[in-house]
Amino acid sequence: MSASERDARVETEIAAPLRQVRPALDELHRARLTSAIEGALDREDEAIAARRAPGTRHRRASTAAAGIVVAAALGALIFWRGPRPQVEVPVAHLPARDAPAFLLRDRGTEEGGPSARTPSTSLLALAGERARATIGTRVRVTLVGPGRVSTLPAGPGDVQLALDSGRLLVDYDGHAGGILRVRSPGAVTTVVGTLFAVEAGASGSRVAVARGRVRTEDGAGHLWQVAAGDSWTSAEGRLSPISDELAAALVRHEAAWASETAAARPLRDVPPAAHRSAPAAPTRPGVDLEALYAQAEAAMRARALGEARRTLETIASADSNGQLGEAALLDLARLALADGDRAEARRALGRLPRRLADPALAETANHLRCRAEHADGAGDGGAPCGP
Amino acid sequence: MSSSPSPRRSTVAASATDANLVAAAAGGDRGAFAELYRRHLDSVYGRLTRVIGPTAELDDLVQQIFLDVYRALGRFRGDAAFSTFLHRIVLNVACEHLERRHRARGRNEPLEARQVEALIAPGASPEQRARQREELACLFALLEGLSPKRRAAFVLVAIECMPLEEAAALLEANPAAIKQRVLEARRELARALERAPEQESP
Repeated sequence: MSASERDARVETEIAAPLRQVRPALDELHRARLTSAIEGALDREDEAIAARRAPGTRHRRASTAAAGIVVAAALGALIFWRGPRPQVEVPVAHLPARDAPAFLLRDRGTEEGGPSARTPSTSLLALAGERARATIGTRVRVTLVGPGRVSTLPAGPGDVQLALDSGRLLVDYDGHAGGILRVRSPGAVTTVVGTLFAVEAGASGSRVAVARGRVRTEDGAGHLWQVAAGDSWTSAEGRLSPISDELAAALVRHEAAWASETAAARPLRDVPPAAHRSAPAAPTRPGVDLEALYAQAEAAMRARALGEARRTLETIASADSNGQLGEAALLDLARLALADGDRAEARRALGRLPRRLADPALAETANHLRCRAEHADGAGDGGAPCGP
Repeated sequence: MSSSPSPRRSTVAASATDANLVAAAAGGDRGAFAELYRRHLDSVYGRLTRVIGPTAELDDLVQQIFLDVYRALGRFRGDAAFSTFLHRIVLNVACEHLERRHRARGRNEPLEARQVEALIAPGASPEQRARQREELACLFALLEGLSPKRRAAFVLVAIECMPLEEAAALLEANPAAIKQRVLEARRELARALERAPEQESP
């Protein structure tokens, strides 16, 4: 074969077909990448700040504490579904490394009590289903199927969701600061505290507000302010009165949450003592939490400490009666001690039950309590806390 | 209520040149850097996909690239366009990744189904999609046989039809060396094509 024949064959059979391939990012993929990049830049800025001010332990500690509070807010998503529970496989669906792991609970067919609790980062509602969920104590959502919504990484105190399809009714309490952002086809909706709905359909998105005001960015980068009583669509790019049907759906969403707040309350809202004395409920499918724990350990090995803390918090909240939850609290205490934050370590240790069933965990807890109480690593009477 | 659209970002940022944004970002303006990476995200993703293939590590590498750029902003002197500076980093990251991959796992990198799907035209029928998936897998498998440097040169020159001088600037080599890499890549690929039917026969 001559050189020209050889080149022609490579051109025809390899180069030309590959030239036709045009890798492109869809909107959701771009949003996830953007969030991942922002997260990486945040960590880089934090690392630079820490290097510049190595003595300001308290600032790093407060950042870590804030991270834990945020993790607590993001870490528990509890949802109820109708008679056809469909819990997604968690972990495998993590959209990005920093996305919060949600805690799911489906009511299943058992009346009055949870039958499963699964961490996940996405919520799915089939046609005719309404999946209700909380994210911490500040976000309450109802996803009307068919639809799917996922969490995305967000800055401290913020919550970010990606609505692929369906109608999402949202009640967001922004009094504690932070923003909620919902990305949907052709729209990015930013909220500081309100009751509103986002619908994602084939022709784009609709945003409707029942209370408060939201800011929506369309695909061209224009900002729209949508106030109570108004509705906006990305396809038409204009405002109109909210439909009676959607307004009624929002009212029903709010009323349903109001009547079920007690049942819907995430575990971490329950006072620790009362919660510990509660009868052991089937609060976790072990395999999922173990997978989540493996993820936390991987994050610790990779020194992705923010992610590790968030994941450990989720496990601690989900399994506060079990050994995984106890182990997670011990790891949180270890991380805090490694960061020089003995107060945070004491807080984590204070959440442990008074008596730990596993002697190894109990011994570890005693050792960590000693280190958390004594700055010089020496316990009562000057005896060392041990290695 | 307010209903008129307003610009997403300040008009200064939106209309600023890359050089102005780089200067602002180097001074600590994260918004300027965000504008920069939003502008270039698609081109970075596209080039990286073509060079390393639709693999599972794509997203992590895109993130790594922009982190590297962020760290390197202080070294950007403006001698070349920002896009040249950026895509040099893209190709460095891509070649390093390919070298790691070859060392760690040999030359058979499994493609990521989700990333392969993204390369297929949305209107394709299930049968067409299946065929295209198979074809793409074969094409990227052939590229896996090339050394990272030859692969990068081949992608830029033979697939993206980039002039030798421009490819040389991105790969930080002289045009003659790039020409030689492309030539050797073509020879290797031609040999691989000749071998391919033999491998497929029972």
